Amino acid sequence: MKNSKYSIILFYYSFFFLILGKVYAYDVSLSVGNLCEYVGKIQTDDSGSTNLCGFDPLIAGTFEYQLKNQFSLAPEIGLTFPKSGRDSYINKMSLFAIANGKYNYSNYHFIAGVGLFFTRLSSSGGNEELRNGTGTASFPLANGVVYSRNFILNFGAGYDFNKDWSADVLAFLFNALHKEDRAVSVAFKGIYHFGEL
Amino acid sequence: MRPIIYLSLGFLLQLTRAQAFTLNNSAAIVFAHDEVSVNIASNNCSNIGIDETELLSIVADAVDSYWNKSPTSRLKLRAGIVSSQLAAFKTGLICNANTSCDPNPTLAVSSGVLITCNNNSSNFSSNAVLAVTVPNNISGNTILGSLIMINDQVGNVFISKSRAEKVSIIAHELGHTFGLGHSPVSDSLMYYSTVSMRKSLGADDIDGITYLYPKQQPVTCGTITEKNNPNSWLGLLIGIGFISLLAGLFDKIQLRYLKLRPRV
Repeated sequence: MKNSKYSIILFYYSFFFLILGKVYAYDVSLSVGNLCEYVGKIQTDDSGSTNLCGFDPLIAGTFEYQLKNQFSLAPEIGLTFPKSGRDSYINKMSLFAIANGKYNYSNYHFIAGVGLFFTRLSSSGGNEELRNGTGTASFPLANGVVYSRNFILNFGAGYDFNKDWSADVLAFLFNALHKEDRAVSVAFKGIYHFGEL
Repeated sequence: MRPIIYLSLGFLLQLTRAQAFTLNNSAAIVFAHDEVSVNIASNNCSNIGIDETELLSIVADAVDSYWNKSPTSRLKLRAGIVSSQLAAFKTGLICNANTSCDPNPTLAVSSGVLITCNNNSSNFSSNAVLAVTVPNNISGNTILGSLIMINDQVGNVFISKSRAEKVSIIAHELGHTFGLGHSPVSDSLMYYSTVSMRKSLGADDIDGITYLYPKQQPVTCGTITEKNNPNSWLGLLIGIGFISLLAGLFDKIQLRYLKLRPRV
């Protein structure tokens, strides 16, 4: 039932933009930034500290359609740079495809949208000798590629410095309807606007 | 300019590091269902300082404070019931003698996870070993049932742990029940040793449970997911297709008044 609720949100969101009317212009942009994953959810040391923002650079491309009444539709695709494990066994990267709506007010813009967030995990197999009880044991490593897929809600805001450059802060809300595993990731981006190509 | 960009990119790639999780078997066996019940064997705990009802309460905290918080995995563990079990769960061997660990079939758990106290010294190499865990009922690549034995011998270390530490110990053992091995880093729940200030999952704990039980929102097709499942690619295509559809829809209907985007 939770999954169908996400689908219903998707339907009403897309319907909202169907009634906004014609497209006036478009803008292609490229952004570079950092993704702060699952803020406050991950333990980072033995003293119980949790994460605030790790180093997880991202790159994204946006195709923004200018609509009427200062609204625009800005679908975006992006990814984080692949990470290798501390011992190089696990490779992880994230990909996202989001459909954001934007409201432009003076030099500011406000963002809300929905999307899909993919977590890609891969490893080449093998074994790792690790401590186990009072001795050691050989633990198998993962072998293969797996994608998990989350439906996310996005909220954010940004500032236009000039016609070429802007900056955004965007929050990705995971499992919005489920308190148990709800989490927020935050993306900080610098954006270069190519305008109409 | 270009060499600086390449150097910077290489620097970025070197700095980004993820953790490393391991599995407890090479076949990456998993539970078939997204919800797994964790039950307690009754009347087996004599020397750990708590009864089975309190142990069940600790299980509830363990699943809710740790594994069920992972945002990218579909597996949910639920505290079950306290139930009567064979006396062999208190005194028997978890693995057959003289084997690396062939599970003792007498103690096969029919479904979910069973936690029992056990006082057989052959199961624990020393009193410093808090618990042992084995998925002991497997069919193909599917875990049907897993068993956790808590060291209930006189002089065990479990009794001296705080409640918070007991919660993290149980959570660690539950990680083994659904397919995870140990982690090499101390900030992970699946590190081989307890840490007094354990409060949350570590990064590779989340990666490990996600690898074994990836979430498939907004729709799923069944609860068993194979590695490299085309369903995952389908999800990527759904996402890109949805965005393309919206973009193309507006383009087709209203591409009439193209003006330069009014930017400052």
